[in-house]
Amino acid sequence: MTGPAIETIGLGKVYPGAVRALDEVSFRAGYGEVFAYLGRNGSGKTTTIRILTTLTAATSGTARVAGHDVARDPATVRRAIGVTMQHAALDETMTGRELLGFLAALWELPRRAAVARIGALADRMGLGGVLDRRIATYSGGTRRRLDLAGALLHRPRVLFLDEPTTGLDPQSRRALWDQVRELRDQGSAIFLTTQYLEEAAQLADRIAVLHGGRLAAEDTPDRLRRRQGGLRLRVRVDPSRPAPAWAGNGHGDPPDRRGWITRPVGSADHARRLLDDLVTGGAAVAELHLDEPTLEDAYLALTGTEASTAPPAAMAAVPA
Amino acid sequence: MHELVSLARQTRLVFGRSLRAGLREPALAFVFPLAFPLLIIGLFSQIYRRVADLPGFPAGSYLAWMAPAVVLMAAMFGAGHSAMGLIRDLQTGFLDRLRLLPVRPAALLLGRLGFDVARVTAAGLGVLAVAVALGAPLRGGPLGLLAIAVLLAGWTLAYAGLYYVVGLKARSPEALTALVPLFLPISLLSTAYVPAALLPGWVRAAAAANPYSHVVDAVRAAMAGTLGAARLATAVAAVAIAVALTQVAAARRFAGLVHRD
Repeated sequence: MTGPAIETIGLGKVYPGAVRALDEVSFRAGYGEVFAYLGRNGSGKTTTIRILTTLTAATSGTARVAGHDVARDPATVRRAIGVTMQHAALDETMTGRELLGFLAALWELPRRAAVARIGALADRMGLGGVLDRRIATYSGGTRRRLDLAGALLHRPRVLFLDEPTTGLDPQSRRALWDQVRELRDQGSAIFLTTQYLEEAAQLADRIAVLHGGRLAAEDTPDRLRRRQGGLRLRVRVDPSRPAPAWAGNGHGDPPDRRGWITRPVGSADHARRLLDDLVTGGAAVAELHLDEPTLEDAYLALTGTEASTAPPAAMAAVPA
Repeated sequence: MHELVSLARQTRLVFGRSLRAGLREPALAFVFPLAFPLLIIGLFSQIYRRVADLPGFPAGSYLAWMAPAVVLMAAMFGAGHSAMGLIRDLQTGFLDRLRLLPVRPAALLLGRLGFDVARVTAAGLGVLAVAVALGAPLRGGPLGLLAIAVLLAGWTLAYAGLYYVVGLKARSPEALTALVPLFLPISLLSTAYVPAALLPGWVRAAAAANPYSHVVDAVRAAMAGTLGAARLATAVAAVAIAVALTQVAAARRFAGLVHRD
């Protein structure tokens, strides 16, 4: 495999009614890496996945997946990709084995090869015990694993996982993470959307942050975090006492209502000196933390902190 | 040639999936299209028995007159089953999963419709057997029976198309349920339950324009053993027009859905 697994140039999508869901999005994702695609509800994540998986046409720009243009050569792209949707898309009236058999037959896998492949995938996904039960009886985690097994039947090299762990308990989530890492280590490219920053921090080799249909950042998790500065000292002082001057720089923000003071620091020693100054200045220190910036800090800085914003109009037009 | 073999293979797989789903919900798939027509035949043949005594009534018994309408009622009750399944696939996202496979959209429709036709034709012939057991005539021989099966299958296909058009437009199972009572005006404004000569003028005009009248009349003639070429041709034409109208619209709507931007 040479060249990027996924490459988009100036990708845009305007839904009928002039609803712009995606605007000039360009990025590359390689084989053997997990590319996490983050963004708020309605930011354009699912629209991107639908374009890259040939289910929806872009209105501008180009996208190549596994070396093929998604608009010009959708059939070849479809053979190269495996997809799990936001909600495990299954037929509940079937058993897991029947579902995988049906999909394998439509992939035109020879019968014996299909039986072997289904057995191997069931083992790997931990589905062995439930394969002959109706899907209607499966738990959320089991459904996701079956969905992933269905997406892997034809040995795709590029995987799209749209919020694969939403609604899963922590154990199921970790099991799915292990599957994703294993696939990545075998050389697959994995494009993953998620709402969970911890998931991106755990899995991603690269992260793209989408905001309002535009790419707000694309980088490694570490570099994204470091954009928020280095270490941070947080101190809680008694707010009823007069706010001390923050010696050392003299012009810092005063404590907030609950008494918290936050300062960027260059090193642990720097933090100690600031703390000394604070105590010398007469503050009663009740609590103190020395933090590294988290991915969540970086994410919130890029996408805003307010929870109440109405979802962008794009939500209404994005296919469910 | 390879294209056709592949289409046939995929259609068979989709048919197999529908069949399996039907066997898992036999009440909806197999009992429903049979149960209501049987209830109607049991009630109506008793309640309206003396209608046959009216001067000018063209059949030996009311049961003989109404039996073909009840056979075709199976089509109108049973044809919506696979459209319901398609709406479910649409809602769960399973249809998207299928679109990502190298399967022709035509196979997704043909496999489902094939199951509707096979299932409902079987149910209709079951209703016919009960009607005959109760005393309705069946004097058309194997060819008459074949004509009945073909018309029943055709009417099922036409009616299934209607369910698809409405279901794909509304994208909700509720819309399909709301369509079920439509069989009533279609039946009442036809020669299904009352001979044309006994209908009031405006209903007679509506019945003459209703393709269903021609289908019912042909099935009735096939049961009586009097089906002529002209009547059969008219019925086949009526069915063909109804199938073309509903299925072309359904196929276009489905194509728009799977090629959706």
